Amino acid sequence: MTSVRERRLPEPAGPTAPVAPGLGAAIGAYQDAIVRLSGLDPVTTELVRLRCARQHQCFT
Amino acid sequence: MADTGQPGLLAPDLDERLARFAPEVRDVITNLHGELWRALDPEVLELCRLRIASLQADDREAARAAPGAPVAPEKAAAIAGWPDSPLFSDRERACLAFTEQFVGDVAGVTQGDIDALLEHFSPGEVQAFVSALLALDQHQRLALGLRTVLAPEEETP
Repeated sequence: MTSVRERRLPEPAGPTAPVAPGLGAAIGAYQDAIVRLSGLDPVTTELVRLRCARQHQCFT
Repeated sequence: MADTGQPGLLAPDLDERLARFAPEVRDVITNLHGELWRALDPEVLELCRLRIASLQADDREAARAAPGAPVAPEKAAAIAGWPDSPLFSDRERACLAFTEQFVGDVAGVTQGDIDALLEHFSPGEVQAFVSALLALDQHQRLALGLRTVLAPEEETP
């Protein structure tokens, strides 16, 4: 099986316009809002983030 | 939430809970779900939304009005048995197979899963599809999670 850390989509031959630029920005805004929530202290929030990353084998 | 007569972008109970507990998150997740239906063919995304709901046994999500584009009722009814149904196109099958792998074990997505999408979509469209899938999956997990955690307390007199 290909490692999840390897690139899997072909590189574009040249500059291309993003297909859904608003979607990427909206995901970023959503993630930012989650991290900024104040109900959980920052250290616990970070521990949860790291645990989720390990669960999903996300190394980025 | 006010009833506008239009299908909501979010599950009604999730919408209401976020408005109460995290309005700043409600705003951005609502915007996110407004964007995702423009990322790719909304009918394909609707099929994937329904498949996620069936995988997670989320009857409420499966029953609510389509937030993007409605699909034919016979296709919606056949969603859990799509591999054996003649109702689904090869394009839809590639997306549904990817959805199942994504929801069940995202780290187990193979190059073959991605290549199957690339037979029908450009690399940019594949990226948009996966981003939309992420948002749909997170929405349903969040709604289910809050429903499970908060409902007993809310029902206590």
